[in-house]
Amino acid sequence: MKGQLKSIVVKGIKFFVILFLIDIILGSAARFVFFTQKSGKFYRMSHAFRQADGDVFIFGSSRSSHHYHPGILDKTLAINSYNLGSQGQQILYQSTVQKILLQNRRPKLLILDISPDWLYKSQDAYDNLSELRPFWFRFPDIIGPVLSLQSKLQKIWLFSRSYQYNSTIVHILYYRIKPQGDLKGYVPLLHIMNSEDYRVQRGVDSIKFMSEQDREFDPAFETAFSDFLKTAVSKKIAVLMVCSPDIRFKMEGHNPSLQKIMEIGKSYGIPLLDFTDDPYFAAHRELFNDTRHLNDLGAKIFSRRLCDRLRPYL
Amino acid sequence: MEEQAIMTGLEKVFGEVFHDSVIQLKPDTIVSDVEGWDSFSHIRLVLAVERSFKIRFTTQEIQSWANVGDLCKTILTKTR
Amino acid sequence: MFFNSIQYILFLPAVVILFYLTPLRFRWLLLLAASYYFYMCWKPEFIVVIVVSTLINYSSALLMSGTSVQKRKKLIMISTLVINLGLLVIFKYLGFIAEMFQTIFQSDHPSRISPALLLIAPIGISYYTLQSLSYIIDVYYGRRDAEKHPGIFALYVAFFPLILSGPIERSTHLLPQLREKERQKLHSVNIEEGIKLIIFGYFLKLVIADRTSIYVDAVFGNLPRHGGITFMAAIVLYSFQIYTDFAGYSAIAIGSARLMGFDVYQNFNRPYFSSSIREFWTRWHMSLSSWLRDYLFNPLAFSFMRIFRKERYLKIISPEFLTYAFAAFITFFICGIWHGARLTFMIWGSLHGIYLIIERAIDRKTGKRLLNIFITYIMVLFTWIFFRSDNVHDAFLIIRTIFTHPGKLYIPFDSDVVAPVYAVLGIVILLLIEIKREFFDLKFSLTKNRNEYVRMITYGLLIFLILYLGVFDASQFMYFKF
Repeated sequence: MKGQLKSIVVKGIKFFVILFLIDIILGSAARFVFFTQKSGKFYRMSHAFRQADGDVFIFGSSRSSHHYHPGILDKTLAINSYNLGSQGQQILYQSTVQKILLQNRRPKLLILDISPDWLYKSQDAYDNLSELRPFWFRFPDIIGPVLSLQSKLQKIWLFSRSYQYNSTIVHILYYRIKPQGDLKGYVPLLHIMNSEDYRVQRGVDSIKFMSEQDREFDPAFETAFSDFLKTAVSKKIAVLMVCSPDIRFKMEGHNPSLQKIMEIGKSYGIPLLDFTDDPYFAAHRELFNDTRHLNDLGAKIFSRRLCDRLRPYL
Repeated sequence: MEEQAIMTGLEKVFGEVFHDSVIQLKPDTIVSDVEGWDSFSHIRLVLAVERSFKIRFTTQEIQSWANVGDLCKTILTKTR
Repeated sequence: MFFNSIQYILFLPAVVILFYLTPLRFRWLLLLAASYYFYMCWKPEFIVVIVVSTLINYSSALLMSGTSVQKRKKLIMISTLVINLGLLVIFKYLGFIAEMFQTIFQSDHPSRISPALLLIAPIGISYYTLQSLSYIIDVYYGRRDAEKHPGIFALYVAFFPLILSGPIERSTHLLPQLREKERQKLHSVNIEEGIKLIIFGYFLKLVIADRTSIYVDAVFGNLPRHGGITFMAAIVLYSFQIYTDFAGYSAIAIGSARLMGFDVYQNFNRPYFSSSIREFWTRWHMSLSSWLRDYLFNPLAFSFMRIFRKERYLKIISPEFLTYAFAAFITFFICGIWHGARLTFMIWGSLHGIYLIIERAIDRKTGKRLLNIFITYIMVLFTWIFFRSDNVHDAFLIIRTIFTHPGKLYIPFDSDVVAPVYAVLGIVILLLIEIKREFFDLKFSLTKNRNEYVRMITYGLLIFLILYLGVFDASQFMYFKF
């Protein structure tokens, strides 16, 4: 028994040392590969967090990244803008990115592209925060608390350098082989929605819409949203909320989450530009990639129309 | 019938069922020792043993076998 | 508490350490307490079902061994079986039966039994019921004596690594181990082998099963939108999802038991390398298939043997074949129902029954092994369509679409383009490991290398594969449902 115990303890220690060494070696390699990317979503994030400079930053989900064309905004309005939209990310992510950004930059205007259901409870909103993990070691004070929202044990996991790069390797390889053009955060969609797409997606959307009627709010999301506005107001940076075109719903619809968002926005005196009832987009389904996203042509038209309404705020 | 005679008889039956004339049976031989001894050949085996020794087993007897020795014992009591 | 939860990663080492600190004669108490705690973490009230079923089975086995009157013995056995199966039916199938009656009689009254009943079946009931049934039948046939110690018997029924999804143990195999002194001594080999199995189990679950499910669920959640090629891809991925999910679970279960010196049945043995359906069922969910063979197929076969006594049927069919065909079909039909009260499962089971009968009739023995493996895999793949579909209509829609409307391969939107790539990457790694083990096993081995550093680095790298490629958000093992 004694002999066995000793051998188990010795083996255990050896195994942990080996794990530790592998973690250092592979983790450092992963970190190097990660931060030398030249294209793709993670590249856009790391570029925006560290270098990207600008007068105007656009925050939002995939709808933001596919709708706002900084090239057009810059040319038309003679500004320097960057699109920070990131797929599947909701308000927790936006407020975290805002904190990182405002550490050492003073833009003139922040555009927040609103998704109407941002305040509803959502597991995805928490799960998708994992994309911030690779940046944790650079901004531990900002990202650490957000990751702890996922689970309190994240802190323990983050000891492993390798864990910080979980689920990134295929992304990295994919965009090395097939680089995306850099359009200052804008990612074009090239499909043109046909009537079959519309019919099928419409059905899915309406089911989803029905089930959203009585969803609960997540107080953490409300706080994050208020934080976002409060931070900007206190630093005297203008904020503009925008609802970009959406074929699924009209804004005046009875969406308690959206109403709450508007209410909070109003209390900070934040103006809101609404494109959901823009008849132009409602009449042109061919400008959409699917019911939630404009395609490239749609995005360009939207960006131009946005410019006209953006001028007063600059 | 003697136990040895039963074993020899069983070897013959096994040889026919499994197409293997050199099967060597021991009392502790079990299913996994004989190649091809699966559910189907088990049915064939039971029927062949019954025909060869001119006996009939009850379900209780068939279910209680764990190895060839058990089978042999059942035959022994039946042929006495 | 599920195996892939943080709680289990803390619970298991705690139990193992306490286990070795506890004197042998109290270990059953520790493990029983741990097992009941483990089970009650899910829904505490269902522990009652386990306790009741344990008490009934414990006492009826004692009653059986106390009597020498064959008729009485049989009566006790049959009534115990009825009670066990009754509990299973009440909890698992009542909703389905009620629904069926409603459809048959076109009743306008709303059903008294809510369909929600289908969902609240006590987790693991299908598994521990089979484990108890085998014990009762074994005692009846005299293959083992009745267990006198109620605590050790209760532990056999509720042993925490096995209670949720097996492997389905036997009283002739696991029960004696629970009091074996030599086996339960601390031994570094057991610790190492246990940890190895657990690491491999997590690899299967987190890297492959949870990745593939993302794609599979996306496709099955929105059938009308997809074409045949997408369905084929989804079914292939599903075949790996269900395999790795369940084999991963089993590996963690076996590994957990091994840490305490217990030897539990193997449940999967690279099933997709089988050359025939018959072989598939000796390598897939082995503890269930051997259970079905011993306690269902064999008794059925011996009964049919007495019925089919003619020399030949229809001039060519032998009575042995007829016996086999009937017994096999019924066995696999019931195997289907065991998985759940759904028509799709019945079709899945029946298909396997029919496959076996056809295989037996053709008796294909020759042919290239690789070709046979491929054919067998395709046949199994076809049955998974029914297994995964929510209803028969969906299953036929998928089959029809595959043949009539190939469409384009669905690749998830935007940056998720890479999600299926992770799944494929994991599957490739698994196949490399399995091909090595299946065809070149005697050659050089990393996992069983004589040098301990090689073994450690191998498993260390496996852990890092999990860290880099695994899915770390909460999800469940799927085989609990059955």
